[in-house]
Amino acid sequence: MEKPQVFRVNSPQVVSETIDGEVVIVNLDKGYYYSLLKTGAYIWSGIERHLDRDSIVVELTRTYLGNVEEISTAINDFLDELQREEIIVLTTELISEHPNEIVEMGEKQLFEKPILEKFTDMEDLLLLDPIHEVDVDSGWPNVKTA
Amino acid sequence: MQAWDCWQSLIDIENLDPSSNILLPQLYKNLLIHDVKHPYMARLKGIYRRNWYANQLRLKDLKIILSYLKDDEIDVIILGKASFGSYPIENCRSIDSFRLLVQEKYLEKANQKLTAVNWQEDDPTPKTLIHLQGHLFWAIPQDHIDNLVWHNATPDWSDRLGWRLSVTDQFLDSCTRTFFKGHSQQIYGIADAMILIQNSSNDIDWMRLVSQAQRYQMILPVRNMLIILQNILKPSVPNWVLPALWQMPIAHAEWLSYKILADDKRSFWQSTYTHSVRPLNYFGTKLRELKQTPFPGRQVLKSLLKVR
Repeated sequence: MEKPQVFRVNSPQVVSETIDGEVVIVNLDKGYYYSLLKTGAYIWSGIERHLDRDSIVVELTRTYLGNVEEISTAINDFLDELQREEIIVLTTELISEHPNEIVEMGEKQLFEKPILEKFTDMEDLLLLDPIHEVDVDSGWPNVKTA
Repeated sequence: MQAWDCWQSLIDIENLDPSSNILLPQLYKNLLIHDVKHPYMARLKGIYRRNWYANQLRLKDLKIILSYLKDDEIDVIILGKASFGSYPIENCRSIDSFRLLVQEKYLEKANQKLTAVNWQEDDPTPKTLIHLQGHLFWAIPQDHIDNLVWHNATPDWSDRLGWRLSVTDQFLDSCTRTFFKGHSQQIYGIADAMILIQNSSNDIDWMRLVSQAQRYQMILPVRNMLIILQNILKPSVPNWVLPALWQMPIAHAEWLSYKILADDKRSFWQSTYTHSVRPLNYFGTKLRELKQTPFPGRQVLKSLLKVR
């Protein structure tokens, strides 16, 4: 039987916080800043709860409307991307004792592919005025468009 | 929420004063808790994100500094904004400098160590100022006062690399720094003190706070802080504390060192009097010193007579 693939956040070099449904992540070694929203944030919460890859897929198929295969492929691609960015790493130690505990509530939303937004020019972004030089509808680090 | 409604109707986020800017990350957090929907929220969230990001890089630097010093067996108490690591406001203050307290006997060694490792050399982020200090409070006997601070501190910061002040000492430090003359950013000092009371009211030893305030000649800043907090934010403070502080005489040095509240008329006149007699006291001291030392002219005459 294949061992379940469980991931953990690549701490201490990676730190994250969830702010109003958005997961913000920083790789302290490289200085890169990342943002996850919607399905990306949902997958992140599964990683933090030490769910294995298959359990994450099961949870998302219960939560979102969409083709199971497409959802599974999207999640796998996303997890691979997070690994490539060294944000998460595989671990064999942590298995959630109570997987798939999320209770379905309300209507299912349409599944959207998870997106890892990455910002690398942080020196310039830190110099931005966070009130006057940013997009009014999304805030820092999104630059004001002309 | 009333305060928010009032404030946002009066201000323009594009033209805020620097003191208000400092509190925007905390404002965002508070508004989020109350599920506020407002056009400013997107930019406030951005300010919070930016603050969080910059703080993570700074805290990484701080860990490096602490580990260097720990290698040399130098313990460090983290003061100031970086010390709020375990409170909800960790990401609500911009950590622009590090205030580190080491035992006085290690101060020079710590200074030399940080200079020797030149830890900022490869740091791409803007340089962070480090304030190293050997004392937190000043009183006689100084050794005993310093030992008290360390005795009450806890090894509780990021993998026990550093130490944290007791909540009582944190509150006292916050009061003195907020109301020290020449220190301009009072608003966040008051907000910090409120956070301490809200989150750790049971951990504040009010008896020790009051007795230390008297011993260290810090009655005025503590009194000011509690008056402001009681008038605006209604914190949970034992009802004997303020009356006890009002009864205590304020030392000369306190009137000279600390600000007074605008509507504290009694203190205003006391402070004005102290400042006005200060030049007289200075000259009086000098005159007394002259009285005790031999008139220099006599020495000159003596030496002249000897030569002859």
